[in-house]
Amino acid sequence: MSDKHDRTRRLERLRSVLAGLPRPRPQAGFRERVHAEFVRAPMPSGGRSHAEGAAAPRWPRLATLAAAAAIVAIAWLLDAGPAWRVLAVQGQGIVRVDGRDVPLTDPAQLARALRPGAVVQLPLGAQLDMQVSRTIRLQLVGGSRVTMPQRLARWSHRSSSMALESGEVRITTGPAFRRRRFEVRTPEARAIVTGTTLAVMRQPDVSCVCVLEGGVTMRTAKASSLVRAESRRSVFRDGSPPLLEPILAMERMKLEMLQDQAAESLRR
Amino acid sequence: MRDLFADDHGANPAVEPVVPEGGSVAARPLTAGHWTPIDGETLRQASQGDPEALGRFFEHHFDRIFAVVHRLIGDVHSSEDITQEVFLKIRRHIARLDIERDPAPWLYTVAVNACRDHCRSAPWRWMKRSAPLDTEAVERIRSDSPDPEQELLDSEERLRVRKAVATLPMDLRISVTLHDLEGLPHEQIAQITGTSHDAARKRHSRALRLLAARLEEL
Repeated sequence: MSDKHDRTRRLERLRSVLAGLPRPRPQAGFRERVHAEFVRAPMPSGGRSHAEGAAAPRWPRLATLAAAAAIVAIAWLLDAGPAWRVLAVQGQGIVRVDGRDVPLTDPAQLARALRPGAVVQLPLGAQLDMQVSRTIRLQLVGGSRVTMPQRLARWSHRSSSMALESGEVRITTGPAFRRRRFEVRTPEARAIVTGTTLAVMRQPDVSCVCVLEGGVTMRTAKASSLVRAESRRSVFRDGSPPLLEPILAMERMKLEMLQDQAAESLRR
Repeated sequence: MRDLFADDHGANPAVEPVVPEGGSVAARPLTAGHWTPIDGETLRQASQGDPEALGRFFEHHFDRIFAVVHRLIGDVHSSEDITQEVFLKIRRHIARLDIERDPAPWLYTVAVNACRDHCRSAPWRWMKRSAPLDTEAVERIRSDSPDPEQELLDSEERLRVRKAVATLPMDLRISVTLHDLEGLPHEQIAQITGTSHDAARKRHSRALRLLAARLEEL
């Protein structure tokens, strides 16, 4: 009886302590960021609509279809965003683009060859800088093998992606990149860029996202993580636990150099 | 990548709670319990994408959802990631909300399932993180307390209890968090977790007994 009474008292005391535990509070910066994403995200299709009301006027069917087709065509032409521009080339050697050789010393030919979806192999020691208007700048590091990204359209496809099979790509965005999205896919992970400066590296069986400023979402088959500024996260093909570390000094230096180089062209 | 909330089975967030493993759908309408429901007009405007209403919706729910996630997960960085994913999902489905019902129980369900998924996908990470408790997001001792010594003792007791909660199996941790820390009644917890009222009550009793035993060991 006494034991039961003691047990009851202890449980009551425990519940009292539980009820008095302070509530964890989110950090202000994190809260503001999620708030901004929540409020500004576009409404998905299928949302509630007030579009009920008077029936459309009765136009002749063919004229309506023709007008609609013309509007779509014009919108499609206007929507097509600017192409990727080759801004700078360093090093010597041959770039393999879709199996064809293109000399690094011929930027014009290189620019023509670098179409969306092209598979590009950069020679060791080279470096290739590309940019889309004032939105985003990519820096491909020598030895890398990538699939070129699509154009960033004005209205429709405000996202683009590229594949990194091996090597390294550094990325920095400008103010005009707002509300766009760029993805770098490796066999192990996807890095989702919404406005920041970072590098994505892929070596045999490991992918790493290294962030200088801002935050990058890194998604694998099992989880999604936010890689914050001044940190790097590695995920391994064999399923070993991901590794989170501070950014390396060399990585910081390279990304800061990229920011400086892109400052004027991105109007940061 | 598998959808983080694949267990949802496309459930209507307005009526049906998300079904965890082994549970059954309780298709009864839910109420918020002790949580003050958001006003219907804000909910209607938010479901239509009005930015100001979305902001009010966010302010009404965010801190509480973060608190639940952090209490279940323990690590602030993972809690932030999960909370962010939860609100992304809420944002994607907000247009489907039944504006006649309080969405709070659905939010709890999404958050709880997200935490379960997180722990299931990386159990070793949870085992690793359950040892050192993250105190970053929790209040510290008030320096202006009239009785600092008692405050210190109370603070140590709270820390012991939090550590003990962190060692509970997930289902029991959910039970304690929702009932004792969030103040939800067993009936609502049953609907959130997809169990019966009786099972929820018994689970809570088991959780408290195990918690008391763990405290003896700490």
